[in-house]
Amino acid sequence: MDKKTGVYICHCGLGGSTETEEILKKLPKGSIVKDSQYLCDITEQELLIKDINEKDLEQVVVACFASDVHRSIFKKVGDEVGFLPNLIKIEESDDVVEKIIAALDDLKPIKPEETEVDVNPSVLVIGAGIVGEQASLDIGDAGYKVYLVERRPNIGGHMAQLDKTFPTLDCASCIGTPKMVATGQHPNIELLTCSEVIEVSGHAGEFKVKVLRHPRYVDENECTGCGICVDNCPAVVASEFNLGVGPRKAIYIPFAQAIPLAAIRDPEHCLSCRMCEYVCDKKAIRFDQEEEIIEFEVGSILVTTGFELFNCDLRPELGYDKYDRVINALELERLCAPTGPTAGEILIHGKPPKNIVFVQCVGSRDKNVGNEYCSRVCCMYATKQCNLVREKVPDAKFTICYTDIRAFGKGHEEFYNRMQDEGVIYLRGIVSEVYRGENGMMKVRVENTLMVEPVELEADLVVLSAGLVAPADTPQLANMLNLDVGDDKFLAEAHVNIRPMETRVKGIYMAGCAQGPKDISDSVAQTSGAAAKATIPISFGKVKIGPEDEVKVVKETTATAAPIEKEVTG
Amino acid sequence: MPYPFAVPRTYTINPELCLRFQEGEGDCSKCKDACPEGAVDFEQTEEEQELKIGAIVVATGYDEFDASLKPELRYDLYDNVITGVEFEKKLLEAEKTGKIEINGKEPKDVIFIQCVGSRDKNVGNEYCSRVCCMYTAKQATMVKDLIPDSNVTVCYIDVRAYGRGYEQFYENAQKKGVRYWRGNPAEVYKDDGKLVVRAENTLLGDPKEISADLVVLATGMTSKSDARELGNLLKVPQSGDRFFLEAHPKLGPVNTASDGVYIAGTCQGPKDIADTLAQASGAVMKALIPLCQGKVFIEPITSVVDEEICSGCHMCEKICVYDAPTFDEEKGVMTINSIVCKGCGSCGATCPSGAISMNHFRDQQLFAQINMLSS
Ligand SMILES: Cc1cc2nc3c(=O)[nH]c(=O)nc-3n(C[C@H](O)[C@H](O)[C@H](O)COP(=O)(O)OP(=O)(O)OC[C@H]3O[C@@H](n4cnc5c(N)ncnc54)[C@H](O)[C@@H]3O)c2cc1C
Ligand code: SF4
Ligand code: SF4
Ligand code: SF4
Repeated sequence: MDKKTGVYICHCGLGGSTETEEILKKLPKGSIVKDSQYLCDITEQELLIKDINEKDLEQVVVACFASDVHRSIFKKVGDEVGFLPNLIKIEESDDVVEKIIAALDDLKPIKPEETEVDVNPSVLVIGAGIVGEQASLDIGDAGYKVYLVERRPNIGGHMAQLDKTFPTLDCASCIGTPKMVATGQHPNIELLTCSEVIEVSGHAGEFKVKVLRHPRYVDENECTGCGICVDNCPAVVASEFNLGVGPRKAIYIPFAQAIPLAAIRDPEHCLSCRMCEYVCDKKAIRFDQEEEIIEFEVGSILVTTGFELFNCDLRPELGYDKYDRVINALELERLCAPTGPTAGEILIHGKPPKNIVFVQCVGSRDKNVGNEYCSRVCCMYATKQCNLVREKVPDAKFTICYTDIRAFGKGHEEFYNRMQDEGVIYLRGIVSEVYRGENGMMKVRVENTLMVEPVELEADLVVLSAGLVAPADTPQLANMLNLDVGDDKFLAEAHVNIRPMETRVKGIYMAGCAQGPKDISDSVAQTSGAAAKATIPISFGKVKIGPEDEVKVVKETTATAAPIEKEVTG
Repeated sequence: MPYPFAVPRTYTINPELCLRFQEGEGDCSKCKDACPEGAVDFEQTEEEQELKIGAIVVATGYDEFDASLKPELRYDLYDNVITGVEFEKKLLEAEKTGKIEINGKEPKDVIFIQCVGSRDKNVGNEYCSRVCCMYTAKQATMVKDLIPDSNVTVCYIDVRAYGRGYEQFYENAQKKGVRYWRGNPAEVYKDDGKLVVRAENTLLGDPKEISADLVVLATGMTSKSDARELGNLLKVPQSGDRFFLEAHPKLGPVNTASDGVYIAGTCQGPKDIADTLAQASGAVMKALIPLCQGKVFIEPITSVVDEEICSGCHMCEKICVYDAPTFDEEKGVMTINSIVCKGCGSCGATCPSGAISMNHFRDQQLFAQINMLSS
């Protein structure tokens, strides 16, 4: 440590003051140590540059609270003096002097080694739920090419499975289908269904992408979606799209409004009778279709891989795997939906349910299952579902067992109040057990903080408000893209508050539930935001990158077996 | 300068306080004389600038709820009943000094009251302000950190810790000893010089009185007081909660009824910084699309005036909120600016001469549909 050093301690996020002399004692001659209030301020930075030039400082250390977000702020300093300050993160609990001295021992100079590169005017969007669709439409509308990669045979994600949506009770198909159609038809959007990204390399401006396209065994361009093959197929299995509530064939169209509207053959359940091939007028069936690898380059990447529903079997005391009167909320959505397997008729053991109990926070706010976070949508979707069921079973009674009702979005509190006025009972308490009573009905035991004795409710239908969890393969996806994953297992943003759509890799952005649970309104606003981030470098045509912005190729990939088998799992 | 890191980093003269601007106070020019750059200019006047732009983003934020509208909380009366924002300033000072002081004394019993002016039909704000649960959790934790032997109680209805990391934060506050007490404070009063909060515990059903030497009101967000004027200027309506109304809550959360005008952040409804920034970039995307394209598409359904029939009475001009009808002096009839027309049909319904019809949506079409349905 013999270089003339400047140490700047920014107190804006730290408070207090430091024993600057203590640090100065340990530094070579000619060094300086200064306290500062707001180092990101332009005038203070000018003073910093002046100090460096006048005092011939050879290295500069900036100790501050938010070192992770401030690197770019010191670009100007780098441009002027030829090296960048080393930023050290200091927290209030730290011994500032000690931490700075320790850091000084092992200081590597940072050269502003940025180069300007051209930006490929196209974007890769991974995951085609409502969030992926909206981002693709925005970028496509701005005039740039989009590759939209979706693992399932069709786009639409979870929203396509919903009945009506809170708080305005818009029908999910009515508002979702036009988006799917627009996405399918957009001249700038290249839709790659049954596909997974398997390798990414390069850097912002020019990522090289490899996509594995699984066989559909049907020519997407020839198939008209007439369904004649489906009618004639003899092999019947449970429909994943309807969460097992209804059947499907081995060759099938997941749902009537599916985009692309083309059949898909599931080789696992196919009996190889070739009936489908025989009846198809268009000769669209392709038994010889094989996996295909597609390669292309893009300027930015957007990750919109959404969520999976919490697996309710992990709360065995709630009886989800034991009783068919206990269902999860997404199953209820399928039961309510007019386009669902029961055409909107809700029958439990042949009868419409009269006494429905909702259990909130299943798999959320629960350390025992490893999910400490709140899923943000279940309070409102349960409230909404009372309304949906009431439309069909007007004399049904509803009880929602909850800890806190989180009706925080626009129009949410109003909706919650309305449902209370309409007789939905909100019971504050934690459900400890669901079991079968002597009369065959379910008993829900609620530890109500109000009373010393737990209450027991009788129900002919128990709905588990299951939380939203990160897709199971998020760690692999994150690994492939060099991204971080948060404690909650969702993808981590560059900064929770101020960079909610950016990731640690320049040029890779994310939105929607891939970043954490949120409702459609918040997801859609965020995804347009991420689309803007992805579009800005493209519209400039140039982006500056440094050596650390390079994506390292990770051989481990997310690609699994055929997408059909691991399609909607809930 | 309002605060040290203000941008732009420029001083402003407040004419209401500046002696020079007060009548009969002479012509003090101390600041001008002192400024080495000669930057002070007393002659500056208002000026109008005309800008040509392709899109507008409204990001005017919110006003804080005025706590005096809840007189039972005695915000106006007692100086140790303060708002969350005021307490935030105290905490900023405390960060430097290491001490929280209220009237020269360190408070020992601190009560936070949640949902002040939010979730409250009586003050006309039914909505939740979305941020107060968390800013209280932060403030309550800081009080515990700075005054470890203090009693900190949060009176709440529901704790809405929904964002990333929020639940952990809430739990951490509880671990540090912040007491969460579910109840609705009915009144704050003084007894023997000490504040007393009377509240009903919704869990146990009985009222309770807790004494305090500091009460912090978690005041909510309300729409800007001038939202209506700005809304009228830009033709952006407000929703029932008086925040700006988005075109569609799910599919157009940043779009408005006016094409080319987008909304972002708390002017559309309360939200935290992360959600605000996401929405802000969302609005940017929408504004970018026409800029990148260099062109905009307009709706095919607009109104048209039959020049033969129009009497030039200007009725349509008065009814149209988008200022689409204008008078053609030469022909003596109205014409419709189809770029701004939204095809709402108000003018057509108003026109006493029946001169206005809607493109692709003519009366004959409607009648045919009605006949079809009724037969
Ligand atoms: C029961 C229930 C009811 C709800 N009701 C409402 C409501 O009423 N109102 C409301 O606003 N919100 C509601 N929500 C929330 C709403 O579903 C979400 O906000 C929304 O679906 C999020 O969309 P998304 O695109 O982020 O995720 P998703 O819909 O999950 O879409 C993600 C897509 O990415 C694909 N994908 C995942 N990984 C990969 C990969 N590695 N490669 C390629 N593709 C991949 C998936 O197949 C999927 O198509 C509800 C949620 C549930 C569970
Ligand atoms: S070949 Fe397979 S997919 Fe085709 S009809 Fe027979 S079972 Fe069905
Ligand atoms: S939204 Fe409601 S039900 Fe869902 S995890 Fe949060 S508090 Fe629980
Ligand atoms: S209301 Fe009808 S008649 Fe009157 S000015 Fe308008 S178009 Fe002409």
